[in-house]
Amino acid sequence: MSTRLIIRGGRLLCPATGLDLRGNVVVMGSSIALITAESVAALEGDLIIDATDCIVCPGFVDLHAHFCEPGEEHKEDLESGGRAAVRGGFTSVVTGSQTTPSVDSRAVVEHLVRRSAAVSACRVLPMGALTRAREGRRLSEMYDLRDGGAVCLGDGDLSVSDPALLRRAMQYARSVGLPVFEHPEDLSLAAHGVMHEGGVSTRLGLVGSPAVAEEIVVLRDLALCAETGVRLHLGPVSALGAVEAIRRAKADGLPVTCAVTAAHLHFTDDLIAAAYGPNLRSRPPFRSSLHRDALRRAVAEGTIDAITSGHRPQSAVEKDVEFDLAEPGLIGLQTALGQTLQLVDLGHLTLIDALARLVVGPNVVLGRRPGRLAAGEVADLVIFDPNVRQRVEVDAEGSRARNTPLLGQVLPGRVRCTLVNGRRVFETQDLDGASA
Amino acid sequence: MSNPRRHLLELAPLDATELLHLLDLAESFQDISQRRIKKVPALRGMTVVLLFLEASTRTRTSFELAAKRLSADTLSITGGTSSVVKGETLLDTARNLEAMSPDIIVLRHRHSGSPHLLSRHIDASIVNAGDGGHEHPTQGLLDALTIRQHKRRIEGLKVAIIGDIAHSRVARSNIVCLNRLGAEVVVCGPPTMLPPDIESLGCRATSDRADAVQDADVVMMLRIQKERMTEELFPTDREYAMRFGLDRAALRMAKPDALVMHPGPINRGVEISPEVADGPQSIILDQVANGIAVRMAVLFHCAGGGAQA
Repeated sequence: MSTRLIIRGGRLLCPATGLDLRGNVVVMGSSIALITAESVAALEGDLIIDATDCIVCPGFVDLHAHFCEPGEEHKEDLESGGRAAVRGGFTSVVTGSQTTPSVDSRAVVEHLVRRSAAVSACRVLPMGALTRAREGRRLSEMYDLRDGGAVCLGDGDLSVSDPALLRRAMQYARSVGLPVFEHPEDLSLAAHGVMHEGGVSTRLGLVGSPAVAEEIVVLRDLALCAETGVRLHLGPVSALGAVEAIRRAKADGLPVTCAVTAAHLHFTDDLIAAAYGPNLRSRPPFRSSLHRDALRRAVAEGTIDAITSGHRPQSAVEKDVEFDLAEPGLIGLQTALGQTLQLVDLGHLTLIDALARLVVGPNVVLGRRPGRLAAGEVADLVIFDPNVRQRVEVDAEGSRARNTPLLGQVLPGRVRCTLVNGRRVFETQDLDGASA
Repeated sequence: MSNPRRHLLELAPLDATELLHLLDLAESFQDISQRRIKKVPALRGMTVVLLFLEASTRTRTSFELAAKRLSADTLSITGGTSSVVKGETLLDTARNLEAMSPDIIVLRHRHSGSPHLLSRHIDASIVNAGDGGHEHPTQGLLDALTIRQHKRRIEGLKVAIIGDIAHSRVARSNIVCLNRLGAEVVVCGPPTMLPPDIESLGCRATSDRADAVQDADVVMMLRIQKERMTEELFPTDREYAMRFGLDRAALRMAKPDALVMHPGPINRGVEISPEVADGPQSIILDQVANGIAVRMAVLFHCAGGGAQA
């Protein structure tokens, strides 16, 4: 008989079922054996995790992260990315198709599936490219990508610019049964923009990328979604007009979802004015508080289905340069929970809704049944203390990259333990499972 | 810190007192250039590096003369000769220079915010000699000084700035400086050349040349920088000259004693007609002369001289 793991005394929160119970979770093997408010007597050989003061909930699912493998392993790889994920409470991560070579063939997908099973602490769910080499010219072999293990189809941080090709890709993808992920940005309007176009870009003399560069792609994609009936996912979104259009489309019954990064729910363009900090260069850019506040409202009301890490590692080579030469992106797997809990602290979001955006929403986007706290479910779990505040520091055990403007800042919440498939893949040092 | 480094990265954070201090300092340096021996020992033993990674003749020579007239040792590194063209990053170039212990690095670079990047990593004082489309602080100061010398004041004057405001660092430095010193600043250009929310810098924006020039005390024309435009912002030079250029007829709408300024180099016949550029109201060459005094003041200030921090 396999070892039992008893998670004791936590607040059990399940956003999918609404369960909110102080009690115990018993894990046997790879699945949850029991959820109960009653005390569970420990038998010899049982492992105990004391979850007093902690929340126990299904593991988070991230829709937008880059593990940079293959091709840019100096920034991150499947192993370091996986470590960062589970240290942030994420048990499953959709990795973007923008690797080198890109994830446009079954061989690459299968490589990712095989290698991540061997080295990644989290589950890696590869995005397959919608077009070959992500060039937006020819369709990729979507059935084969799916059969190799791709969970969605998209060109990573690119939108397909040719509407005729995108229409055919959507028609084809619909029969494949996978959602189409679009990064909504018109490259002609975004042009050489390195930050949000507005008063701050004017003052700083940096070329702006206007909100309409995102909004125009969202409107086009929604029209094609309505026509083709494909499940469309837009993200990350950053503009007020984009979420308003998506809200209307959802009201009209379109099969559309969208996501925002935790960072976009906080950062605004005026932060760049302090010192032209390259870690604040992001795609999509951090916009004005008008847009940021609209994103917060949209997350609260559910127009935005998922909060993602937007994890995009860069090394000093890409970041210790002039702002407009810096590669965009910031890491986020280990700060997404903290930034989300910050919204709860600020009163923008209830705790249960916050967890829903990290657990339920992403699964809905992928067309999967959300993880639940119930007997028989796979034991992908996160245990975190929402009341501990901790300083963001370079974590030698986590992500290989350090490109985040949050270094040195204090965020609420601390992950104590993460379980994937019943296995403790991360635990803080002061919480060693004591043998009974 | 006993002696904090002084930089001049931008004019935006300076208040009127600090701006006037620099202008007064510049005025006090002005007569040095009129003497037979044009040199004072104020910066003797100090090293000023002129790191000009973008083509510039006028600003670089002006800074070089300013440093030399203060007796500083100067080292001039320009785009063509620098290792930046060999793939070295700005930061590595600057760190190499720093190993030679310069006191001041004067930087001209085509990327906005690059002086800020250096100031975060380098020990020397950093003087911004123009960064991308952000600021050109010494140009803003010398324009203010030139206006003050001719009009005896800046407060209450109407100053029209006409041209490609969106891509102009000169416009930004002038708007914040003149606004803070009490002038009424109006910027003018086709809508494609007016960046969003430019009013937040302290000016009014219009695409009507008459509205801008009417009763102006100063009309400042900006160079049409074809080399910096990545897209088409107006149809033809001909239409631009007709709608936004400054010729004699347009200048007649300004006050009779209005000053005509231009940061140079000028495109004759595009943004300014030759008879206006060379006319009696033009003070374009005074701007050049004042550039040296202003840069002497800025170098002296950053080296720790003068009363104010």
